[in-house]
Amino acid sequence: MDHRAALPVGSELSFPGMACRIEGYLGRGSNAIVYEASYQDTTSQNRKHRILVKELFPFDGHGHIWRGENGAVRRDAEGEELWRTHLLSFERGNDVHLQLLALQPGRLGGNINTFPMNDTIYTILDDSGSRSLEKELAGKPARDLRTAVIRCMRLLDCLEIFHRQDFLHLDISLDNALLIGEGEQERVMLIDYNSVHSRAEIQNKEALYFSAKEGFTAPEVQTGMYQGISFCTDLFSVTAVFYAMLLGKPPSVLQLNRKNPPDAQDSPLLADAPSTVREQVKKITRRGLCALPDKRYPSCAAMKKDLEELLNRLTGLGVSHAALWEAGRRSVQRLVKRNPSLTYLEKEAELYPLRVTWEENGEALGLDAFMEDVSTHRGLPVLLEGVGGIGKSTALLRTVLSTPSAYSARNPAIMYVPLYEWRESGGHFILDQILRELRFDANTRTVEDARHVLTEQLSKPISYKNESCPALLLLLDGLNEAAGDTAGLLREIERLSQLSGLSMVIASRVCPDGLPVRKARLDLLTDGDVQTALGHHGLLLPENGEMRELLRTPLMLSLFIQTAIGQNAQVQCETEKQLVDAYLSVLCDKAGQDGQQARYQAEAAVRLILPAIAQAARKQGASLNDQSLLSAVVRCRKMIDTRTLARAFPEWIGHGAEITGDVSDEAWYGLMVQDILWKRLGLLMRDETGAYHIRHQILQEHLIQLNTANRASVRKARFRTGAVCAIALSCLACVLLLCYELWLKPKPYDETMSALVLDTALTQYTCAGLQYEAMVSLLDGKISPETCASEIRQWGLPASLSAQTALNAMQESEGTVIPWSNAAFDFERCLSLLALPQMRAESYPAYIRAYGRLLKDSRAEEKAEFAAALSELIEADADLAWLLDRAVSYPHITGMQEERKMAYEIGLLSLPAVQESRSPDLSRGLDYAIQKAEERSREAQRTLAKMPVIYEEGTE
Amino acid sequence: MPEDMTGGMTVISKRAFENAAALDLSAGNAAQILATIPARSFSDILMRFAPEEAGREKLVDGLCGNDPSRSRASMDKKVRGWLSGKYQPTAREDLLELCFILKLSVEEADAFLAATSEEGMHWRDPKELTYAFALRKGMTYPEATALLTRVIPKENVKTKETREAFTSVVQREAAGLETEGELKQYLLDAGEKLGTFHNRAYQQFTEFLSLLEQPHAVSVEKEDNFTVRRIVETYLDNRFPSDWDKKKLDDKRRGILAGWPEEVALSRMKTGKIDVNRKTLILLFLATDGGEEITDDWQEDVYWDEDGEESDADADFRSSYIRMNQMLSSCGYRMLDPRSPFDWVVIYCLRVSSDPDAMEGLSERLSEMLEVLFSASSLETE
Repeated sequence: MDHRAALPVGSELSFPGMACRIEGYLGRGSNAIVYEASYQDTTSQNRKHRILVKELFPFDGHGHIWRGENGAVRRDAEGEELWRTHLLSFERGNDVHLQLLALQPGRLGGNINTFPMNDTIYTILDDSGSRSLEKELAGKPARDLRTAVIRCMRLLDCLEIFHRQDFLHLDISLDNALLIGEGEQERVMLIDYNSVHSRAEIQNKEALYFSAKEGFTAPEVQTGMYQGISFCTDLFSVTAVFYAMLLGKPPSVLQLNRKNPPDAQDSPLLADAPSTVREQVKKITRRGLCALPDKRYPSCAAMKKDLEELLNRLTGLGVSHAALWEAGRRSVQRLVKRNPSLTYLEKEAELYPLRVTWEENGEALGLDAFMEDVSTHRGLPVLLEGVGGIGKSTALLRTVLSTPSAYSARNPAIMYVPLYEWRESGGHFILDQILRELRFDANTRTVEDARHVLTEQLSKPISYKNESCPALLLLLDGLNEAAGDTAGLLREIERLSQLSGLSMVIASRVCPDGLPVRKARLDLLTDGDVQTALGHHGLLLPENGEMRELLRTPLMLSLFIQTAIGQNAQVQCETEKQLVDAYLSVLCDKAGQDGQQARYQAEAAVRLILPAIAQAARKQGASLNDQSLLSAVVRCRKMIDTRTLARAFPEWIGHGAEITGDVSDEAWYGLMVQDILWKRLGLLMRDETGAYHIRHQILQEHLIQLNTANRASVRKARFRTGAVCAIALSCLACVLLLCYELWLKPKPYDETMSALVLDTALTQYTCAGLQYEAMVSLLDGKISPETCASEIRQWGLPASLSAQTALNAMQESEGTVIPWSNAAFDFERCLSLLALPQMRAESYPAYIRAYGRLLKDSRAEEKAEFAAALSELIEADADLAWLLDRAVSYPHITGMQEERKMAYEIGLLSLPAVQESRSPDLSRGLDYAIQKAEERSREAQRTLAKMPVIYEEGTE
Repeated sequence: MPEDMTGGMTVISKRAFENAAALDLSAGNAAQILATIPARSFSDILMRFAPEEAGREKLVDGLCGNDPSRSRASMDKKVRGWLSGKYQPTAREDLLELCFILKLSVEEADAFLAATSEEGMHWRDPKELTYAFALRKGMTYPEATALLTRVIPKENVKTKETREAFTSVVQREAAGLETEGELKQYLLDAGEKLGTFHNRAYQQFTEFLSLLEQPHAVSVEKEDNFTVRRIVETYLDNRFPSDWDKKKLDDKRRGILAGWPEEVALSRMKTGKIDVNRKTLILLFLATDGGEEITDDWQEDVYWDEDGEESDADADFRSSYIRMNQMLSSCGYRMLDPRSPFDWVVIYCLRVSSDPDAMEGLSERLSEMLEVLFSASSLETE
């Protein structure tokens, strides 16, 4: 019995400079009693410092050490030896405490001072307001796993201080671990240093004094195998503390005596934890509590690393083998859950046999054995070939789904990545697809960082003793479905195949050129497999040889059986197309069980919308999301109400309203695509990003053909409709034509006369143009006035007499239109055009002579004024010529015969560019423009007439 | 062999240990080596604890002084037998008396008892607790026995011994008793905590028994639970010689068989009628392959070994050794002593074959060894 008398509350201990008062009793150990105490602040007399006082008072059951008068601790001769032992231990504990405090002042509670008094010694310690972990738990587990993990890590932080100085604590338990602070600020502190020894002391067996606490004491301490005592001994105790936080109590001696250390799997904190978390807890507890010291954690850092990994698994952060394992399973489980068409994968017993043959040696294996083979033999990626519908996707998805639900750090993680979504992304499509499933801690900030971390992880195989296997088995599905230029994808595959921690299986219908792979082939079902499957449903093997062969493909066999079940009859199909059609019909019939409207809506979804989706997907080369599908589906809806579609799909006549319903376009889209095609009939699959694709490529091909047929039907229907209208219109046109011919049709002019007149008009226009060019050259100083006058006269001939005669004859005839253009002819303007060159030849010379005089006389100012006026005149006249030609010749160019047209164009070659390139303003009509040009010409002429130089005599 | 396993052993003990733990030692060779192992004699132990007191005369004086009715000649013969190693006292009371004669301290008496019998001072036994008090007070043996009559409660106040009390608790409490009056009062007050049985050992025993009672968990055919008889027949009972033949056995073999649990004893242990002894605990440890539970998960990873340098067989042996010692220590029993013939055989059994195809467990090793040691042919060669 412990008869040690504690100091009563109120006792005074007058230490130098610090008069302490005992406020309460805290507890006692084998060599000390601890009190709560206080002392007054020197300056602020009404303020107190709260402290702990630890009194050396060893327990001696024989009564040789006792409390004497005045509070002194007395001992007799027989108690002296025990006293000395505990004094040494007490002082050593203080010494270690002070050493460690000097190195890590903030990490340990303060040790203020030690004073001799009352024939014993007292150590003054900080009262940090701490609470012991033992009291905190009170026999129950921690509030949650994360709290337990973090507290354990903080305990290791504290312990590390000791180990760094080569000290072992050797008395780690719940009551010696104090919690300071709350929440994120909480830290853990170790107390009671009486068992602290350096490793050297233990090796030399110097003054060994160990505490033994059941459940926390390592075997090597308990059995006296001191050579085994090291850092791992403390870490055993830390693990026992962790265990206690998980279960509310430390492991029992019985548990520790067993071959397998306790693994804390029955902790309530793990009740809903994922497998990866449970496995990590098992790893930590088993390693930490291993009976063999050298098999445990060798250092605080090693244990902290595993605890950090546990935290990552709790939060789902980080790129680790466990994270990949978790992500691989999760993504496929979500895919299957989301898509009713994939639920067959979970019915293992109903799946058809999947067999694979290696091309290199002809070895045939079951799927599981094949995947195991791939996992254990590193090398080139494996290409799993097979025809459409043979089960490549099934094989890959099934591989992921059949991994054990319990995580194992020794087997590869498996991930499935479909390649139909491939698009160029800087050569990292596959890596990015993997990363999409992961989450990252604060150290990984950018996508590039994440790729780097992932690549590092995949560069390390899992090694265990003399064996190794990849960390990740990557299953890439549908290489042939990757659209567009896949060079980047193939490069990425080749690059990833170099990583020693990664194995790949790539499913494809064909092997792309130049990709180094090992080839394997999914085998067709045997006749026996087919018969067994059919027999199971009471179905007969088709007589048709082609059909029998077709049924060796699992997809076709599945469609066959589902069709039979749906029809409740034997299937009478002879080709793949018939089978698929029958299958689709069965789906629609199945939907029809919900009523007639449902049936028609399903029909529309399957036979009209789905084919359109298939075509759109083919065209776009990628999956389509709701946004991109909406417009196509709405177009289909609009067609349903039209007579065109009614002709193409006569069976829907009278049911258009039932099909389209009375809802908005978006709601109808939701019904057709999301509800019917995706969820109910499983003909569409939807991935995480919301993109849809047709359930199988074979179905897609069939649907594209169906879409083509639909379009042809619609076109045909439209044509028929258009043809009727066209005929009606044609009849009407004939009647009108007859009337026209008889009474209303305009008479043409004589063709020869018409041609002569228009040719002459062109000639005169050309002459006017040449006159304009000469006048421009004069004003530009390129030709002399004499030369200019000569050219004006040369091109100023009147129209030919024959042309004038023809013109007159035409006017007097009964004709009203030019024969080839069927347009009226502008005689008035034609006369103006024909007369234009002669008029210029008569009026321009006077201007030329005047200009010439001005040039000779060097009357600059007068010359400039004259030149401006003259320029205005010739520009107006040039515009006029252009406009007259427009009015006379231009309307009759169309309808010209080729020969005539060519002649016309040849005639235009003579027209100077300065004339041809004019662009008068026609915005207010040709007539207005001509009127304006004439006005400008007249005005210019008036201006020139006012100039005196005109009237000066000069020789010609 | 790692230093931590043999650290603290004498040279002879270390050699004996290494012989027993040699890899792939056949049972035949082991039996031959066992014959050469210098077993720790009683005389050695006497000399270790009281070299000055262990003189023959002093021992005889002490024995006669404790009981004047004893014949000196008879005591002398007995002591000569002890000192020559011919035999040793097996009765607990004789060993306790020697503690007084040798004037051992309580701690020394604890170690002496552990070395000469299965366990040290049994603190929960009122008699031994009283003897410990007497030793601490420097009493003689007659004074101690007289004290017993005064302090042991006359009525059987303990209505039911609880299995929840553990020796370490009682030991701590008893260490503070100062006077006879306190001792008497403590024995009265602590009635339920006291008892002659080893509670922890009993707990361990029931755990082992429950493993043996359930046949292999993954057996296709559902088997009935094993009875105690079947357990003994399967794991503990071998082709032992008849009682008459046992007399022909040498000391070592006799020592091995002494206290061997048979069906009746095991049943009585199970019902709590008798205490679980050290030998039974050890044998059940071997029978259960170190207390291994059979699971479906054959990929259980027991050891974390990044380097993979140590073989599983080596790691298994070290683990079994340390766990067995831990078990014995926690139950208050003496840890394994390679100079004890029975313990030597146990150490040999812990060292399973390094050949994984051998499918050899601790239990199989024991059967083989017993077959060799106690077969009719081996006895004939005696």
